[in-house]
Amino acid sequence: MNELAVLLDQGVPEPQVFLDPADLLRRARRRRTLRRSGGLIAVASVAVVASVAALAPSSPHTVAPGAAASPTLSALDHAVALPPDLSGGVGPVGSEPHQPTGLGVLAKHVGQTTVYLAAATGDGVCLILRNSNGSGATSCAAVADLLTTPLSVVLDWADGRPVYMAIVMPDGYTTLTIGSDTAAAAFNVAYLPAIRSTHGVISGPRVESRKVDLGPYPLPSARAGSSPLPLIPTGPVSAVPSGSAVADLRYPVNAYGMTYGSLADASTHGGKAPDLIAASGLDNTGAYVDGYIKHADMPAEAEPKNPADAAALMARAIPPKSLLLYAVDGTTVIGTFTFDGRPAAATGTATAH
Amino acid sequence: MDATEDFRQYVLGRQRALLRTAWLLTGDRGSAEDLVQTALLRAWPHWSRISAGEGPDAYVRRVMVNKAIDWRRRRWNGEVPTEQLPELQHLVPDPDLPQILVAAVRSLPARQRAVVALRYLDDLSEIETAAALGCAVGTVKSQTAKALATLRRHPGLTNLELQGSTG
Repeated sequence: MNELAVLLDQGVPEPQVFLDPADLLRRARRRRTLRRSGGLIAVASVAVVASVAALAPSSPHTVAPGAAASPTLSALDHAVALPPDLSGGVGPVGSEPHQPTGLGVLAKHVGQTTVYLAAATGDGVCLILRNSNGSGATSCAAVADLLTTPLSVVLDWADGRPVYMAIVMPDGYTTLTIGSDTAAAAFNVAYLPAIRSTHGVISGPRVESRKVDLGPYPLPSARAGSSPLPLIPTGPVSAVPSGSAVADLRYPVNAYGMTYGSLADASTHGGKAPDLIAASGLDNTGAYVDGYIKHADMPAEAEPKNPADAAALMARAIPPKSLLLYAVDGTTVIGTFTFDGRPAAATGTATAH
Repeated sequence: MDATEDFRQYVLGRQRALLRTAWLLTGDRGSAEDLVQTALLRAWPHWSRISAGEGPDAYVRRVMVNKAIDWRRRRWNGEVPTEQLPELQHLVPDPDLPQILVAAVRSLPARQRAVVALRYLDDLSEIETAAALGCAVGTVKSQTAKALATLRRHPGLTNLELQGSTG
């Protein structure tokens, strides 16, 4: 050991034991429970999205201007080459480890702004905003950070143009890109002390601190241990035609004819949930196991008929309920899944650590 | 030994060492505790796989380093990493070289700081450090060289023999 090592060893304090493993395990399990409940509560969001989308004339293959539907990461399975002026993102991307690869999909139109979901290096994903005048903003994040909980996007408007774009990360941090016409730098400034929140505070250099609403922006939930979704298609790519976008994806079907997949993908399936919904539960030894719950077994309250129902549902506590967890065949029971029916606000009380 | 007991033993046995590394990565005790807990919480759902594979240390360290860099990037805290360390006049007369060195290391850019922490505090080889950082061994070497060069320029450390070791 050389002198540097010796001095560092002397300089870094020798700490006391500070973690109780049992407490850590309780928190780990509580965290998972909260995330699962968040996933189920997303049913309400999906229903709201579906009901709002139904109001607008649109084809399954087209994102209508102003449509509320948002893409999921799986849309990147169908990524194509972005226009040259978008391939590297719009505005400063900075030294983030995730840089746009030039492939992506048109996600949605918001006013005069177009939002693209783009593949990024380092197993990342980017959101690219472009205004009608060519200005815009880009914000990127690791896909792995997005797999366990919905992503939220904040657009704050001034004179009909977005000024801020914030991506609320699952660990509670907010990646904020100050973009559009007003700034030329990206800052990451806000901290949300909860996994989910209805509001975030944005502040930073040249930005007056303010509280903003966080709109839902669902991405597929992934099961623990699953691999990152493929971001780069293997097939040929072509230019993005104007107005084209997220494909109408189909759920895979098991040997018994049951569809299966992530509930959060429902927004790309016309709001329809699969027969078998991906979930993580506990096996008979108490260990976590990935499997599926049957859509038919889910509490009826989890499927609101309209936005008002959804709002009421999310505000109401539902008694916890244990559901059987199946293998992908839909018949082999491999564990149980506890539906934690706490109201939406309760999911925001979990610490992010 | 089942996964729960294995995890329990690991947390009990390794948390102090992990906290020291985290402390050097983050610069303060509170953030270091957060970092260790975050890494362990992330590790637990995959514990069976981690234990059977490269071992928990490598995984937990990798999460800690990535999260430390991530936090530093995301949090706007006015902390500005620099290649030119400021003159710590109040520390120069202090005979406590370890404290001066630690302060200097904490002023390094995040990746250089991580390399120093893993190489010289955790005593990892260059290959192990590269695995923890998810980068090439050559990158570890270059980051180490840059870090040592910066530290050598520190007025309070000029008399030290800060030599990179191979590994």
